[in-house]
Amino acid sequence: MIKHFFSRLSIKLTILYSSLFMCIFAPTVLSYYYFTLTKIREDVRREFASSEMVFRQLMDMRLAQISDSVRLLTQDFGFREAVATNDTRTIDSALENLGNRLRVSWAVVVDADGAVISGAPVDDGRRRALNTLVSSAENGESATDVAVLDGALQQLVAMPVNAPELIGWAVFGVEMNASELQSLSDKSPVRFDAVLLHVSDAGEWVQTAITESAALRPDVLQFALRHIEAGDEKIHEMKAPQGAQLILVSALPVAQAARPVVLVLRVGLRDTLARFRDLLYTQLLIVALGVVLLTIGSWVLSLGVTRPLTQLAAAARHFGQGNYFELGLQNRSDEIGRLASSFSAMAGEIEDRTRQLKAANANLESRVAERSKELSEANEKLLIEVEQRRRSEEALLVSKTKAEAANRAKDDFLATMSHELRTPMNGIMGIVHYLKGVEMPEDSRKNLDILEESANALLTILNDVLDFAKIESGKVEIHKETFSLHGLIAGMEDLWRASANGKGLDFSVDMRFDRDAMFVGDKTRIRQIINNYLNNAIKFTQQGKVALSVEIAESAGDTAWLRLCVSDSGVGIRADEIPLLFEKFSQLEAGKARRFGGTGLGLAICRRLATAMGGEVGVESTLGKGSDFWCTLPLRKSEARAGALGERSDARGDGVNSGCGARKDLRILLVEDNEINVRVMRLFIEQLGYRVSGIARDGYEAVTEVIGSRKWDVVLMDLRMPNMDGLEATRRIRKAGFSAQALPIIALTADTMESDKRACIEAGMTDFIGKPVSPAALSSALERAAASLVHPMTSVA
Amino acid sequence: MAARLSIRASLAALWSIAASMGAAQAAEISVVVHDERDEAVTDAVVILTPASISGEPQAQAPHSGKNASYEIVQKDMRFTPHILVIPRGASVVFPNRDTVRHHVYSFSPAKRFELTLYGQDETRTVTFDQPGIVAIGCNIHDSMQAYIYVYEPRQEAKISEEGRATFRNIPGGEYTITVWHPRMKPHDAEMQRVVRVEASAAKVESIAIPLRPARRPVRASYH
Repeated sequence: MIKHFFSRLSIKLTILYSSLFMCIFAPTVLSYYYFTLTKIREDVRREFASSEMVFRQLMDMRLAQISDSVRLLTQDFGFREAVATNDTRTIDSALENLGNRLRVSWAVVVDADGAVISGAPVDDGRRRALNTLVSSAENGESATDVAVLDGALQQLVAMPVNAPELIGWAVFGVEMNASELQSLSDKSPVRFDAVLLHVSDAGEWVQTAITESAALRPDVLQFALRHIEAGDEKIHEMKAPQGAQLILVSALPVAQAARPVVLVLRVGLRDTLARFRDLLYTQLLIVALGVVLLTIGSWVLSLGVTRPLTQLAAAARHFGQGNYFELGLQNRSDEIGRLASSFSAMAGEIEDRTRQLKAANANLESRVAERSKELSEANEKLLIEVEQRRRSEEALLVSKTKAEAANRAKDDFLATMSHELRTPMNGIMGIVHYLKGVEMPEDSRKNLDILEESANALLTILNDVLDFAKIESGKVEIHKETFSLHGLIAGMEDLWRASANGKGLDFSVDMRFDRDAMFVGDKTRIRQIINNYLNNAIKFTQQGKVALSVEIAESAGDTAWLRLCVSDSGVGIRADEIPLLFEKFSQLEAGKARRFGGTGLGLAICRRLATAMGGEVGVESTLGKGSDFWCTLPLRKSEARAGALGERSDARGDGVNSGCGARKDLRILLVEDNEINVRVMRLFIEQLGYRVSGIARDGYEAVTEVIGSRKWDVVLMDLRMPNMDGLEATRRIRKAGFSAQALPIIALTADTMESDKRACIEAGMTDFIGKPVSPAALSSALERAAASLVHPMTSVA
Repeated sequence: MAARLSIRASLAALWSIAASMGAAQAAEISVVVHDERDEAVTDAVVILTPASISGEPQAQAPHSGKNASYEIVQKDMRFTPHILVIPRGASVVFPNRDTVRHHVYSFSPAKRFELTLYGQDETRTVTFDQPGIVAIGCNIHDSMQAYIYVYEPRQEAKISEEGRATFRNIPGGEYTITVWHPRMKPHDAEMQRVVRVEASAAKVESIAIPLRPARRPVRASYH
């Protein structure tokens, strides 16, 4: 019910209007009241302050009046004569005469020393006041004082009597008339209480009321005393339980500071302001009346808006029921009139639209039926298509699986080929190496040299093809190991110098980097790139020089950019051939006389390796003058320094000679299934001064041999063998308690991939010789094994 | 002028004493008067009383007032001189040289008198026949003050100038020195001291007197 009431627009508008008006009206009235109140408070203060001023002025005027009269008396010749001659009777009558006229409380004449000559009786209080007064009179001038005497505030005047010397004082005491202050309080709009505070003989504060009011309440007294002692002479506001009080403290001028007289005026603010409460009531009444008037006015106003709206609503309702309804509001000139016109226009338009809509509707139905048919047909088609798509995807999956299988087959083929090709090469190389150590006629030696060269070339081609195949199949493995760049380069320098010098070329190496710096990267691959570049350069240069420069070109953070460059004074490359240079199977002068054999894979391998390591390769060349092949590679800088890691072993590398005083009495067990390889190994081992003490044909035999009767110092273990392979055999031997120190096992394998090497180390092998075996590699491996043997003769528990 | 007159009077008195002493040889005594702050005091009355003849009042000459003429002039609302020493029996004239009238009076016990209002260029004469201090005022103008010190004829009196009063050609012997000043405290007191001076000797006697501070002039509005 109430909700319904407030949802009416006229009520809402009324409330809105009234509250808007109230928002403006009420603050105005209230701020006016507040302003008035503040003003009144100020006025009360001012009035209060002026009352005190008037009171003090009254006192001053009284004092001046008395002083003047007394001065006249003391300058009278007869009075002077009377004082000079101690004529008490005359003095008394003079004092009485003047005293009556001035309504003084008491009057005396004292001589120059203060002794009373004549006048009213002098008690202790008067005596004290008199002495204070006369002694305060400076140099015979007149003096005044305020003291509380005989229970009342008295103003005292002392006037000197000169004849012409100072012969005495006329002293008058006049009681301060309370009626003056009372009438001041009565006439003031601020009715105040006045109290005098003075110090009694006992040293305590005593209050004497001046006006008709009661004495000060203790808390007010304390408040006033606090301010008197602090010396604050002004109006103070005090918060008291009976309402805020204004307290005025005013010390009267006294001759003796030890006996102060203080006038205290008090006014209760609440009582004073009570008179102004009527103002508040009047204003509240005005506000209330205003609210009523505003509400009525707002109601009338809102009806002016809502009545046409109600009519409009009725019209809309009729129209909704399909009937026309004459509004009769269109003639109005205001917004309501415009609204009514718009409404009528809208009604007409809606009427038209409705008609059109009905026609269109009929049309639409037939078209919808048509469309539905088309849609169902398309849907069927789509289903068929989806089915087809699904089938083709299935087919794709099958072919993908097949392709993957083919890829795996290719990988397996490659791995097998790698092994199968190396094994016969091993035999050829082995025999060639062996034969070179045998004496033979000169022409046979020449033939042997040709054989060796051919074998080497074949091996190179074989390595390149296998390497490239591995790279192409994505099996390139980049190692992260800490190495000395200087050690790496220095280890290669001598071999290549020998190779270049052998062809009559100058060879120089320029290293521009910190020789002690260590880097993290794949040194084997870096060596491969350098070897390829140098190999090419020497191959294609007929005369002049080949130079290798290595530098750390750029260093950012912990990444150092290695830049390798191989320069030659060879034939150079035509500009249009450069882009093809790093493509596979690309060789210059292709189709023409192929003067310099090779697979044409070297540079392609370089590029792929460099890319795999995050670097780049390139060449700058001038035809007929020479070429600069370069390669940039990012390396991580290592914290370590050369020497700490003993990386110098690279410097030794492949160039180690056999027999450096190492032990030759090693009992060597050769595990090899291939008869040719057995023979080659035996030849090599014996050529190096060792002896093969036993042969096992497969892993099983090897395990039996090692664990069984014989004691062996070193095992040379082929990896691919029937029955049991080398890895399994090694694992079993290690499991049986033969430690690496007690029995080094050296792997012999054509599988030169890194993963194979890792598998060897994991199985427990201590060293690794790649096939085809070179005598140098065999020699150093055997020496390392001999050196690592701690107790070669100790039996295994 | 008045000061010179009084000095001359003193010299005359001295001379007569010296003559009566006959062959007595002349001595000299200087009295240095200063206040408690050691400042020289001007206008102090210094009286020298010879001890040897103190008991013989008849020895002095009664002629002294006859030859001398003393004057206190009222001019510019002031009495001039401010302090006058006269021997007993001398007369003082009070000429009015102001354009206004004055009413000269004294209530002092040594001489009470009243010269009621008299105008310009009029004069009055008062004879002082009792020793003592006479404070003189004007009833109309309270700021006007003067003092007449009346001494015995056998005494010698001088007014200190810049703190010094010198008595020359006096016979040797014992003397009482009396010093008075209007601002002396306590009021009306005198300072006395007995000294002995040898014949032909010059003695200097220093005397300190307590003084009240000088009074400020009375405000003009009350005149």
